[in-house]
Amino acid sequence: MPQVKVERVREGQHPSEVVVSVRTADGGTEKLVVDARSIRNGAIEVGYPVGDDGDRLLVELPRESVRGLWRIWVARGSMIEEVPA
Amino acid sequence: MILTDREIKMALERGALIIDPRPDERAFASTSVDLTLDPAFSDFRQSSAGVEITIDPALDGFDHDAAMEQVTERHVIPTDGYALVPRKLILGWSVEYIDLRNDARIAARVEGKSSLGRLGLGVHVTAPTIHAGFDGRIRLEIINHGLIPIRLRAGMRICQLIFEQTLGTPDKGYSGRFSGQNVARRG
Repeated sequence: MPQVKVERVREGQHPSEVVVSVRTADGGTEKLVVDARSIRNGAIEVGYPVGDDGDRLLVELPRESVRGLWRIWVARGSMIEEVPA
Repeated sequence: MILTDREIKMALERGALIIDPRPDERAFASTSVDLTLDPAFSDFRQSSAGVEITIDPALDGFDHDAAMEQVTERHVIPTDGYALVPRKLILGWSVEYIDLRNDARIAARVEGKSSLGRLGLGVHVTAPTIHAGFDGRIRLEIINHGLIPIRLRAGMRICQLIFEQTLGTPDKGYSGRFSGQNVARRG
């Protein structure tokens, strides 16, 4: 499943949770709370893009962001697709 | 379509659905699985006299998690339980970790248990949907709507999950339109 790169921001409210940020295509960030297990090699699964606009891809986050968004535009280069070994 | 106990167990067996730790047989009903209460919870801080706090979630840059950090304190349910008084809201979590990432067509709803609902205990505030692709523990908004304090104990059966199969595959689970496009690959 495709993933996007994330950066850890802080611990979440529960010991199992982490707040991470995703870099958006406009250079901003979108923060969301995820389970620590969701982060693999600095990325989280987002599924396949749901929109395409040249260099940008619209992806759906696995959880609503801290400001209430599900879908964000990310740079195509920030997507990673896991290829089975 | 709501998954039956049989379908839920089959989904667990084939890895389409993960519940960790896996619930024992008594946790299943015909169309649901009970989850249990984690000891960690967050409680809203008491306001000091003359101090007014207002949350403005529509403000640009609002961060609900940071806001909750400011207005709540973390606690652990003691061994003799925690008495949730009437009208009080706390934030809790399920012990169980749920992973819906392996099948894009499974979603779920968290609902209360009727035995606790009759006491006035609610486990969510208008946000029961667990979207396809979710993974993590279930966050609970636990409120006592009743008239008598309710003692919460770590590990008690606190809510039930109802799994549903979506009609069709969501866009994010459908690779056809994007397969082979120019994204970074990691093997």
